[in-house]
Amino acid sequence: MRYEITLLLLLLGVLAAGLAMHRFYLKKMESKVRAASSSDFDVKALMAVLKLQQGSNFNALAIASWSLFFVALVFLYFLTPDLFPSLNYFIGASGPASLDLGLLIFGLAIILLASGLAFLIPKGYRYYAISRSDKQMMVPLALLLLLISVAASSYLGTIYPETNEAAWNLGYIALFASLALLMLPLVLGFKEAVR
Amino acid sequence: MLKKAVMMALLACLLLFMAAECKEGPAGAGAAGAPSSPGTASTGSSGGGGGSRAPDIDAFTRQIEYWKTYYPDKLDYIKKLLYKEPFTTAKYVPPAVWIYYPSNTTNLSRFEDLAIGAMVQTENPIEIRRALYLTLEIQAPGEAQFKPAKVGTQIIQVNEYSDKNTTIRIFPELKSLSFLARMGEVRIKINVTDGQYRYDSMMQEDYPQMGYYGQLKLNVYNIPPQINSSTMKVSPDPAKWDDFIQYSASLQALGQNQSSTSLDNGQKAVEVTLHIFDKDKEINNITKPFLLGDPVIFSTRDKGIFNESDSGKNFTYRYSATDGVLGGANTTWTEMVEGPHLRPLAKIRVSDLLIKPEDDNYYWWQRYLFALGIKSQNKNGEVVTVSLYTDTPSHPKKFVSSQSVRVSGENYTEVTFADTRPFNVADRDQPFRYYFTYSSPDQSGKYESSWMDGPKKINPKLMQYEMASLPGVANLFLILMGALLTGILLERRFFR
Repeated sequence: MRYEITLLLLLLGVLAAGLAMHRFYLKKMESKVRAASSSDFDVKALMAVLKLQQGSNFNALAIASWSLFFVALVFLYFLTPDLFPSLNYFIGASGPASLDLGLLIFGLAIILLASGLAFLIPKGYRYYAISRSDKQMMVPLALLLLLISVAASSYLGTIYPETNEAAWNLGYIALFASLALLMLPLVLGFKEAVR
Repeated sequence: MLKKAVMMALLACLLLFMAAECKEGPAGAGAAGAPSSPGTASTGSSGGGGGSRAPDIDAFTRQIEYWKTYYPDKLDYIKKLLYKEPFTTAKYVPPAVWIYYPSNTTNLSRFEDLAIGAMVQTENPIEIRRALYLTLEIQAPGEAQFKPAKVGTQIIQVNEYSDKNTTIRIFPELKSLSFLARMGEVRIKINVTDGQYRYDSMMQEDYPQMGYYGQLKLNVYNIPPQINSSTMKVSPDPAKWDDFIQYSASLQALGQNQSSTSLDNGQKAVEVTLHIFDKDKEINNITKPFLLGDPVIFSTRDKGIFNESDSGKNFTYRYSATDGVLGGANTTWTEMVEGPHLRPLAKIRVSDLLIKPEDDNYYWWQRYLFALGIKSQNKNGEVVTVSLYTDTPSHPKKFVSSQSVRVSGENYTEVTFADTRPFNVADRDQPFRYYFTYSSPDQSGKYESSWMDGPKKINPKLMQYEMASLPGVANLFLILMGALLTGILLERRFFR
């Protein structure tokens, strides 16, 4: 298996781990409240009570970051025929891909298709207490890293059929780092829950 | 009985005489000291002394030879004494002969496999049996009398009968009745002779359940030869009226077993006729003989079929095939098939098809110039509509552009398609061809030029701009804006 595919599996594994941590965190919160409470309660009501307002700017930037995360992921793996020769933008949609704004069309299509996920994941942030400094660091930096990843992938498209391993690695590292940043609240919450 | 006793007595005497000879030596040759056998030393039990010697076969042979040399008249006499008169115990009766046909099918096609034989039953003991000579005779439909079939005479020897005194012999050469020229009832009988008597099988009663017939009657029908419509081809199609045009098909005979041989040594030819139609009217036909299995081929060399006035017409054709067999269906017809389509007479002449790329890179996004020269056959010139097509594995026969131009009748007019962008990213790294179509027939009678190969493959590069360019940056910036806008809109809609 090509190492790029292995790295893709790693990314998906991290995403799955994030989901698992989130579920663990919520279960832990529920059990803590249940232990402190003398009577039974509605879990949905508990979840509603646990929600925190993270701020409009943070929420909007988080949604944008996750949208851009999926754009960067798809660009890195499915823009050129290098990794999946029969499954890439230039083969699958050669008409729009041939336009001057072909990359934009591809990017917007991914944002549209991934908007459900990009909307759902930041909703999970509402159960975590995220400090102001974390917020100020997390989202802008993730956006910047994602922009670097998308730029690296686009660069690979412009030089194809030549390849540039450094550019691909840069794109992947930036993507992975942005994912780590975007999952920071989940990791911190999990750490808290474990403690 | 008396004769037998006499013969036995004579044989006993001979043996006694031989014993005496061995003991005393041959009478006539004794004085000369002749050996027990002349010329050679005695072998076998020739021990000396006064004991008797048992004669062995060699001694007996030598003795006979001795007699033959020295007493030929006596030997003849002994032979006469030993001669056994031929005798029979019963009166000879000519054996009964039937046609043997074990199949219970009496209606059959002339190509069907056939096994016909003779069943012979004799009452005679082996001593008086005679060899029987059997010949097959056939009365074909419409004929007044039987004629010998073209099969070999079968000889039944006296020792070929089973314990039940019967024997069966198949006529191996007769494998089908394909040689018949007329269909209908065929009668078959067997002629028999033993050298003395001459008779036939018709005197016998039929035993159909056992497959024995005095006279076998078969109803034979024909399966006429057929041309499979799916094998019919005419080429070239379309063609010019004076091109060499060839019609081909393959001939098959339904039900015929090609591996079996009929009585004919030479296979009969099938008459095949090619019928050519203009609309529904037959305008020409050609008939030729073909053997089954051979390809059916007609061509304009066999006969002039078309003339200049046929240019531009679409013809149809069909075949009929007949084996000429009488007394039933003998002809089949194929379906009507289209072809050839004769090209119209030239109205324009086309030349100098060319392509000019922007540069030698042949990128998919580049602009290309295509051109061709057209000259009208009409001195006054004419208006021709010309269309440009490109062909790549990803985009076969892609229409690019079209234009109407007035072309001169005196010189070639160059028709150009400038600044075309016929390819997209799917065509990258692929070979390409281009061709033109026009509204008037060219010098080949075609409305389409030949397909010209592109000088080289389209460049494999994917994207038409660099990353550090306005489109590159703009795309990236707008993607970022799109993500932010999505974030703002979703936040406003679902997070408040």
